Amino acid sequence: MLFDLFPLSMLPEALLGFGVLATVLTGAFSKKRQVVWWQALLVVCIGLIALWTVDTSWGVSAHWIYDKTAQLLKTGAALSVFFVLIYSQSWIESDPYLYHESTVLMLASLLGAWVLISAQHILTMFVGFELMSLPLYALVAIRARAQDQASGEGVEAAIKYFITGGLASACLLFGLSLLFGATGEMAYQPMLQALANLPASQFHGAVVGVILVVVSVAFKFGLVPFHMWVPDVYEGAPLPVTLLIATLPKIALVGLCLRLFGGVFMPLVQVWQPILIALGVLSMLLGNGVALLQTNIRRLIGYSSIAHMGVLILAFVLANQQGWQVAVFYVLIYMLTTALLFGSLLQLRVAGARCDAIKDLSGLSRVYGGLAWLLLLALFSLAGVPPIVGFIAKFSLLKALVASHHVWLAVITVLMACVGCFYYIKVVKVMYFDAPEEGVLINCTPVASQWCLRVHGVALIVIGVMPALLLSWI
Amino acid sequence: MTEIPMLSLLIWLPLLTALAVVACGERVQIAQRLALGCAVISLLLCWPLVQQFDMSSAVFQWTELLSWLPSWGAQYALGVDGITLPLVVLTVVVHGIIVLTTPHLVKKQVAQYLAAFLALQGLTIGVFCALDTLLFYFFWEGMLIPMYLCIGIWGGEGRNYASVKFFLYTFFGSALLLIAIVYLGMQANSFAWQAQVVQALPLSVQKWLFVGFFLAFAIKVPMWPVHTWLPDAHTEAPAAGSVVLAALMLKVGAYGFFRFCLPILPDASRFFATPMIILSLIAVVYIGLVALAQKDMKRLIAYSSVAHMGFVTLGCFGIYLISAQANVMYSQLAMEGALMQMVAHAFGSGAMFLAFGLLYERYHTRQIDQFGGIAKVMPIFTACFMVFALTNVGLPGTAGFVGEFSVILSVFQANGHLAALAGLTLVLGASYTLWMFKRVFYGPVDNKQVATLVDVSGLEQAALFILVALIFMLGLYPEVVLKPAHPAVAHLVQQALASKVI
Repeated sequence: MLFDLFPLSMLPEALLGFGVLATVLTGAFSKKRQVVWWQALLVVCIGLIALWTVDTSWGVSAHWIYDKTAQLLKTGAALSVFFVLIYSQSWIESDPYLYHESTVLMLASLLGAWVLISAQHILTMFVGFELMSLPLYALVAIRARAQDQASGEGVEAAIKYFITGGLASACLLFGLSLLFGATGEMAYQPMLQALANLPASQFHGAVVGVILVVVSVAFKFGLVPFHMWVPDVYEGAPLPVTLLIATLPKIALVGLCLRLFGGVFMPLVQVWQPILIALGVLSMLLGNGVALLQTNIRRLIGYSSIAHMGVLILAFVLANQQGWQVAVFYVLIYMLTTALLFGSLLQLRVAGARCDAIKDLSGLSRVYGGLAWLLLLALFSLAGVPPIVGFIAKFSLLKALVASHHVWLAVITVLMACVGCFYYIKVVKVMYFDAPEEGVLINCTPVASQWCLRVHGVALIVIGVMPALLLSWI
Repeated sequence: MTEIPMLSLLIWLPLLTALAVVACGERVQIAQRLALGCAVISLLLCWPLVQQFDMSSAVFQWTELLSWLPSWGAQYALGVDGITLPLVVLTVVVHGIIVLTTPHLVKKQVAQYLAAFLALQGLTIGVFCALDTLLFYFFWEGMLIPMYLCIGIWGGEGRNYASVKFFLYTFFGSALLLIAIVYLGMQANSFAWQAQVVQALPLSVQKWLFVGFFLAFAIKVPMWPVHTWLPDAHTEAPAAGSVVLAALMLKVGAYGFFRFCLPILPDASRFFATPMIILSLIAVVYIGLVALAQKDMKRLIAYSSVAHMGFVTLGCFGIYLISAQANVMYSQLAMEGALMQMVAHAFGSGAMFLAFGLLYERYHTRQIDQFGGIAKVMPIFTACFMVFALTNVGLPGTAGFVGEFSVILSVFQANGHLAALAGLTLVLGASYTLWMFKRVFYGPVDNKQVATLVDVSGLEQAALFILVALIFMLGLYPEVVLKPAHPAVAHLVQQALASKVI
């Protein structure tokens, strides 16, 4: 009976949950900050090992599934938290008061993401959704009273994120309740059956429910016109938290969208397909357009993420196997690239430089050549220039779009990518062509970060040249 | 011997050397020795590449095939034929000369400079040798990053604007190329070039694909009216950057027309032949007139580049006009003229850019009216520059004549008026080149700074003499370039004139 409700495939989540609690205890009783950091890393590693030990056939239940896609997405989510922990080692350890709250919240958010990816029941999904989001709201504000950041910004960003996120959750709940009212089912598979055989009287209820769920997903992705929080949160949150927000929820949401747009909502495809197309195109237009005007690098990356999520959502428009594979591939590549980008900025921060305005990066290639090179790789990967991996992601999406005869969507995507190119090379220009500003940078990057960055940078090129390495997993 | 992956060596050796050179950091001597070693080895590799090439065959030789992305239908396929062989050797020679002259032209961040050019060498050879459209696209786009950094870090004052304009223009062209490649790959179920050549396509599809390909290649060539990135990029780039741009980047665009538009989209090429010929003639005549008006020496040479490339596209698409009126032999002559022009132009404009770079190192100005009387203070330099100017003009005996004459002769068979327009290049080319030469080199030494200039010596002299020798060799015996090309060109013309409509 217990294993009906909690199949063995929930073992990684259970271990992660215990790990979160253990980290709380350690943080409460330990005096050394490094211990907490190592423990968090250990918890993530244990979770990953459990993830790959659990066989995909170890049982599904009415509210839980564990297939290859879930395994891959959860690995991606764990990797994103792993990157955050590794690159923000100095940041976590430098706060004398809240070092273990940060790590606990990050791990809790990961747990929420994992639950969201595997959920097969709308309540389980909602639990995962909230568990993923609430720690993120707190993390945005967590350093708001520290000296190295203007207090106003962090609090403002946190409130914006919290309120818009709360609105998203409310929309989600309302939509789910409408769907429950229309179908009478809560688990995904029965709901799919019910939606396929929907009586006419329930149609409008179900449609409104679906639309509200789409709205909440769009909120969380940061798609136009629900994108208002993105630039402010990216700018106001501490760098490691921005990295987490840029990577973790996106992966988890792709998992959610796969279950919804690739499963439950398929009978109502005519309802959500045009909406997704509109969301995607508007996001690409606005994200790329406004990013051209930015002078703050974090806001720039925020708007670029709006554009990239617009591209990503187009993969779900295709509503076929190829589209879903592309979506998973794209979000994983996006996570890798963004992690490298923010990881490099974090090391710059650790070395003592500011990295808020784009001008702060002037002449970086002459002062700190390795970091400038990594930033160049990450930026050109976002722009989609071969041989870096971002091109492969863009190419696989274009292939899928053209194969499904959405050629005009493909043309719009590449044209918007051209527009996007401008602000990426603007940053490269500032790094490489401009003269460096005054000031000495002290290179006190932790060794773990240095090596991780190097491997990360190499991986971006290697996977770009031989994408079969990653494609064979999908 | 043919088991040695010669082409992979030629591509990856410079790329790996680029990594090693970057790792050198501030140790400039080691970096230069590494780069020189790579240049010498590449040149030595060209010898068996050419020796063992079967000059009577039109098939691809030195082929390599590795599985790359089987789920997508893309392979790591390389090969050279008679058209590509001269271009590969040209790339190796030009980059060798660049490595020779680097110590005189660049003083800051030399290791990174050398690395950028080594990377460009490998990537350019990759573009020429790729027999898989996705692989071609990888190399094609990959060239953007090193070129962008090259213009932006070591360029002139306007380098920010020029480098961004270059990058965005080229990227925009490649965007639609990507869609066209994806669509073609989907139609043919494979990205392999051979598969796409034999794939039959309806005319409407071919036309759209042609537009996609055309934009990318026309921007690179460059054709009027999408040529406006070139004057800025050429003038602001460092000397070696201008040389690589003029000698190789432009050829990559023309090569794209040869290798992709003509064989894969023959009906669309035929349909669009007349507009392409008109655009080429506009480039030859109008841009020639624009070059005449320039006050900036580098800009003048840049515009003359565009005018010369007009001949390449004229020869390429003129075959459709010629084949209707004359023997197929003249179509082949037109295409061979285009190929010869590609190689010769590298030594015309490319050499002029290099020579100008050496002059600029001594006297930092590009304005023609600030020169005057250089011949009196730098006689050897003037003599070499004279040869470069003459090949730019198209004097018989120099490399520049062969291509232009072949194209004009072939076009004349089809339409005398068009040939007359094309022949105007002989007048216009002579006007702007010789007038510039007179203003810069002859006349009294009015400017005090000019009087203090030192003539070229040592490696600079060697580089210039090599170029002069090559110009005369190609001008007097063009069979060196054209011998391997005859069968390949005949085959290409045959493919281009055939119809592929379903």
